[in-house]
Amino acid sequence: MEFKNTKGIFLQIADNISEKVMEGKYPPGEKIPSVRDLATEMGVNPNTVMRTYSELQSRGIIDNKRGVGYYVSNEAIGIIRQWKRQEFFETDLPLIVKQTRILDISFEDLKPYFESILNSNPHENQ
Amino acid sequence: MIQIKDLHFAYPRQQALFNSLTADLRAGSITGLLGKNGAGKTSLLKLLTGLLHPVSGELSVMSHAPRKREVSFLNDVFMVPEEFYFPTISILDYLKAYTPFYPRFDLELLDRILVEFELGKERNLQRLSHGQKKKFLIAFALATRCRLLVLDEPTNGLDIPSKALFRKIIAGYLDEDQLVIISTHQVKDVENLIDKIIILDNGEIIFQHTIEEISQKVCFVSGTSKDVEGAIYCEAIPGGFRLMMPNGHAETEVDIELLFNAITNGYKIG
Amino acid sequence: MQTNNSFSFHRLVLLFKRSLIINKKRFAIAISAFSGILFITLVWAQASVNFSNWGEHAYLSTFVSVFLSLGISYAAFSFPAFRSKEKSMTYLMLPASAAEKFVFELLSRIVAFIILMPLLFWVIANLEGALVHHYYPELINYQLSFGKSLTEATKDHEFNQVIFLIIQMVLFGFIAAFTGASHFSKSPLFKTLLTFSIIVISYILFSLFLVKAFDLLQGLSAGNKGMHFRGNTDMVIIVFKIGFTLTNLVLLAIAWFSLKEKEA
Repeated sequence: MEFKNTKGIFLQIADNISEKVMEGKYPPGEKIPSVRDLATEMGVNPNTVMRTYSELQSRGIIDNKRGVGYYVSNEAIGIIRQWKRQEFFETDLPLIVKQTRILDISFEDLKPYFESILNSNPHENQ
Repeated sequence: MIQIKDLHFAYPRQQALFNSLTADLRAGSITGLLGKNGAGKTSLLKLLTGLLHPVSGELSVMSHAPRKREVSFLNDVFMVPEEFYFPTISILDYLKAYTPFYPRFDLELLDRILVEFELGKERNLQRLSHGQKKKFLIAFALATRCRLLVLDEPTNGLDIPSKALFRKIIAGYLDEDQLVIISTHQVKDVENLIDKIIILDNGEIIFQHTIEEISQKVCFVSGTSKDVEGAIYCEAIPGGFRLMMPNGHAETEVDIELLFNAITNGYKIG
Repeated sequence: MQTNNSFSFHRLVLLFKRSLIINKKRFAIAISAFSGILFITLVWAQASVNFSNWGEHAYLSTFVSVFLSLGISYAAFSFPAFRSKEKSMTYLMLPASAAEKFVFELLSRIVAFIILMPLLFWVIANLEGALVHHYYPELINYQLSFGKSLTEATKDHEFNQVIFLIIQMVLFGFIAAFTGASHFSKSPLFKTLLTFSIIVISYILFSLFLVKAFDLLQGLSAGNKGMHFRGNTDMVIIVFKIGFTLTNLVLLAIAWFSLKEKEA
């Protein structure tokens, strides 16, 4: 796995797990890899993975069943959507809006593009 | 696990290398030891393993004075040096000769790592390439289950896939009670693997922080201008600048190279 | 887990096992080469006297010269790990105590040699003698018996007196080489010989200087000749016995501290 963007590694791993939950690879109630297994798989420090799991747990995305492992919580999908939407509005959208202002693109200009992208990639938009 | 206080060290007939080293290292970490050429990284590792003897000051490693080289210390510490020697025997014979000295040696773990590194046990050690020898030594080090593992430039000589494999193995086969110290110039090789950074410069430990602390204190961003308010340190890169700034709210990936240059140029992360 | 930090017989055995595993080929080659060369040398020596009368003394002189030269060279390469930095690191970090490593080196380099080399010599010499005798029945007195040789040699009362001294002197040769090897990393045999030559020459020069400076010979010629040791060889032997024994002990102590304080 390559970490290209500048988000902290533990957040990148959190994003990655969240994505897998949203894609249905880790459905609610399913066990996710142990800290050690994930650390081995990615070649990342186990303490970093531990931090990721603490973060996900504090957000209510995963549950720690003592001595058994970590499971995707039943509310995970809702929580992740809520969390990612907030992140989109706070971080990603401002950048896009800033770009549109520089390039003098109006909200109306965007609309057709928005719709055509949406229609060309229907499977990616769930 | 390791306590160093006012450690003074000099090679015979040379001026002091370390005047007053102080550090405290705990188990359960993979610590990166960084420093320029000649900063004394290897000497520090040798002091920790009892191969060199301090002139004065306190040095305690797992409640032992390393210089005494007591058996209970030696069978709990393993060093992978940059240059090493193997006898002309097969891996199997080597294991017969050396594993009985390590009470916690895990043959099963060794087998698993050797398979990952694609090293057959019937191979003669002298006939392996330098990189393969190094991989064997790393595998052996992990399998000793020693509480202190000291790796001096472990990724030097490893091929591209082996470097990733190295990270996976180190990340995956350690216990909570172990401490790994990796001295390296190849920061890219150990990025995301180390959770603590120690920087040695001019005979002193000038920096000692966990990655978590670093990423909470500062962030690393790319920009088109170097005149960014509050920037602590900045370097030109193709197409712009890399900047180290006080952390606003979001954590970024730690740019070890930029951090190292900032710290050794006298900047502080606050 | 409780670890015995001072001395464990088990770990000493492990050190021997380790050495055997690593050096098995080398040992096999060395022993075959030694046996072969000795065999050929003996045949050649006996051929030069036309396979006639041979005897213990002829074996013995060969034995003593080979024993001393080989023994000293072998002891001079004790602590083989100290020849290179990389090997030293591995050896020093090997989980065995300094006492175990010291005893291992001493046993494997000096004691084992003193026991095994004469044994091997005895086997080869008798084998060779019997074989040559088979083809050249005119060769007599071809059997070697150390016991017989020793009784022969110690029949002389004087010699009997100095046997302990000779043992200490031989041991001195071995131990000096051993200590040199513990101290010098590169070309230990040469450096040890050089060091001891310098010590001996300095001692002689110093003695000469004293004799000259204080005109000691003058005093001697004035009728006090040999005041201390006059006619008493036993006294001389005792002094030398004590001298060599103490020197050997001091040298062993130096070797011990070289190992204990070795850095790499």
